[in-house]
Amino acid sequence: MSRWLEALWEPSAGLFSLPGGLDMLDISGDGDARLICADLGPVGSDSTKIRVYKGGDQITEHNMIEPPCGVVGFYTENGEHRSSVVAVGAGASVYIFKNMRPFFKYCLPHIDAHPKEREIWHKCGLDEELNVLTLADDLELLLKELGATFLSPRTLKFLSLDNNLRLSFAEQYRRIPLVKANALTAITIIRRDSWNDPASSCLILGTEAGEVLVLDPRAFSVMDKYILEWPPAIFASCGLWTGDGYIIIIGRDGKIGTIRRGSSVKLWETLPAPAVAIAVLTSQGAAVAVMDGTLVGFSKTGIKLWHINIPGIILDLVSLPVPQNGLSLLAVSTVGYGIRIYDGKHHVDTVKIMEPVSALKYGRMGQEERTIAMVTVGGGLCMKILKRTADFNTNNSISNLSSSNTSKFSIPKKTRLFIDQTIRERAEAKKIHNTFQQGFLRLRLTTAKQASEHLSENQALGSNPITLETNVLGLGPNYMIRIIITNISEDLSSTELYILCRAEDTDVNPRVIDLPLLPSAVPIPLAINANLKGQISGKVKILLCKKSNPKPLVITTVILPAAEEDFEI
Amino acid sequence: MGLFDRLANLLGLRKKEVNVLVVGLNNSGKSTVINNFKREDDRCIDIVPTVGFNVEKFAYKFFNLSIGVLDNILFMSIDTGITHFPSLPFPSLTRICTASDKLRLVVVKEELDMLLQHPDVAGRKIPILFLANKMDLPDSLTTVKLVAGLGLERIQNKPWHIRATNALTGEGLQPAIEWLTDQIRDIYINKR
Repeated sequence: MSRWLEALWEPSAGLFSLPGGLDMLDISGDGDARLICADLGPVGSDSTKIRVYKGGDQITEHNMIEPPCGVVGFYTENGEHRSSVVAVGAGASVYIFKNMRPFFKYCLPHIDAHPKEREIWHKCGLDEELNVLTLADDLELLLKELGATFLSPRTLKFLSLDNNLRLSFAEQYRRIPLVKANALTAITIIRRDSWNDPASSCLILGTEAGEVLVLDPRAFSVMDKYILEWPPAIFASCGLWTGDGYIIIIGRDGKIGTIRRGSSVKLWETLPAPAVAIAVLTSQGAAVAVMDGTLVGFSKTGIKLWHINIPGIILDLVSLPVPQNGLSLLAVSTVGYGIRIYDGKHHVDTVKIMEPVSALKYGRMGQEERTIAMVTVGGGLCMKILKRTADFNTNNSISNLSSSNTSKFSIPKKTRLFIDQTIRERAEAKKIHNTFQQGFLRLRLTTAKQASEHLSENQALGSNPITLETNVLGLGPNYMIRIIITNISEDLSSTELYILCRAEDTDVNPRVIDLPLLPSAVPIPLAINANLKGQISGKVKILLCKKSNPKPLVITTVILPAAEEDFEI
Repeated sequence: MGLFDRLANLLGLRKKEVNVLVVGLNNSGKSTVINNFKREDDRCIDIVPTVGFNVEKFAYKFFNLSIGVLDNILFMSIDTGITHFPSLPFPSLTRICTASDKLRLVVVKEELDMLLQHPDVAGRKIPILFLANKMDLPDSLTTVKLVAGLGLERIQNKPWHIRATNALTGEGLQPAIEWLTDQIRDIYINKR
């Protein structure tokens, strides 16, 4: 039985979204969360829109000039449902909507152009007469020297123009100060100082120039600024920004690192391929979907905990926190394999869907807390609701058991015993350490002893596989003990072997027999005479020994039965 | 029991105690519906989300209705509601669904199926009254659509009735509760 209820499937919604292009927010503060969707338009078209859905119906749409890089919804005040705003990052600006009406536009600070380039344009602006040819030559030289990436769009536009158009272009712009526009690459939010819902969140912006800006939620002024020197592509945030929260940053080349407030970026590692998406887990770690088809789990300190291969191409990844069950699941959208749900590295469920899903979002939709919204590559919109009774534990109980040695044990920390133990440890640390060291040394000694004994025994027995077979012949009291010795190994036996007889209440002759070299698999018979001394039965121990080794290799005991009374004839 | 009591009982004058369980998703208007049955001066002005379980008692025609409001999303199980009425028979059930929330129709259906399969409900002839609440909202579904969407025609062993209501104004509530009391009276008459 499926764990999901299909609430909505609209194959012709005409939505085209990428990871990060969906969010759910109660935009008007009436308690009903809406789906906000950055629609990039069908392939090849420029009509980008922000669409807002209530339930399954679109209620508003807003045209955008530039394609958005992400949509996030957040609150500007703590505990104030009506303070919800939607931020859409596009081009070099962040458009803020309040109640889905334009409210504020934040422009990224301009970057300074290269000094040489600025110098050329400045000089050209000072000239009375504009000399287009010198300007063109200077800029041409600069282009060769620096490369196109370091030049401003104005220079590039100028150089790409036809010769006779250059004059009017330069005339138009030469007296305006030269600036280089920045571009937004990623946008996300982080809770500011409260875990309550709703709580104000700071806006986090990543720019093409390699900066990370953290904006204050009320004034939209820059609170903190970090220089990365590589453009961030994907963000994820965890915790409170004014507390111990951090931002996980992934670059286009797969660099992954974190920023904490007041410290510079700390690189974790470089992923083997560019990342598709990142999802934060409630256990403070994060999972990253990588383009080489793997899902990698990181701890909160950046230690790679696990990685699994995902069938098909990964299109998006979101986390599904299910606090009722104490779970933090991951939903991975794949091509051809539906939405695969993972609990850590264990596959627990698959949500089948007609088309591959290009963008996923899990959260509160309308009144329903556990809704997953999916936008398919064909432009369809699908919404599913996680059943109240859904249980993800049944399937993976066995696999969980096998992995329990790697996962944390849930030991209650504050038991009485634990406290007593801690106090005792603190008071008598030296003694405990000494006792431990003593015990440890003893353990090592015993282990070493056992090991050496085992080794020498193995040497003795392993190299001398010899069988000993004994028979008692005769009626008594004079018996003959027949011993058959066979060397069952393939090599010759070692020399210096002898047989020793130890007897109680019996005369044995001979007591010692030196053995010849035993050829392989040839039974060698020996005979020993044994006479009982009294009327009771006797016991003879036969030991196979080696002259250099005090320990016998093989021991057998022969019991001589009590002899019959002599008959008087 | 005195002679007079017995006489009153025989004549059906004495009011019977009847338990009614009200079930619905959160924010569907259960407490608001019950607020409407109260006397004017008892009504609450602000209705806050019910956490857990509420029992209200009031008289209506022949019966003392004790109505329990249960939010099954909050409470995770209707078992609690049923155990709160130990004095079974538990003859009636009111199910409230929001007519305006199309997205949650599947959730309502799922919860309803689970309720109908509950051992205390499944085999018994309990009248069920469905209130399609919030009919005043512009995008609300009609009762016909709700019957189809929830698959109510499959309920064959229980009398049921659906009514579009508006708990804020009390529209549609009177005929709905009259149907419920008629059903309960029928049960008592048949028993006798």
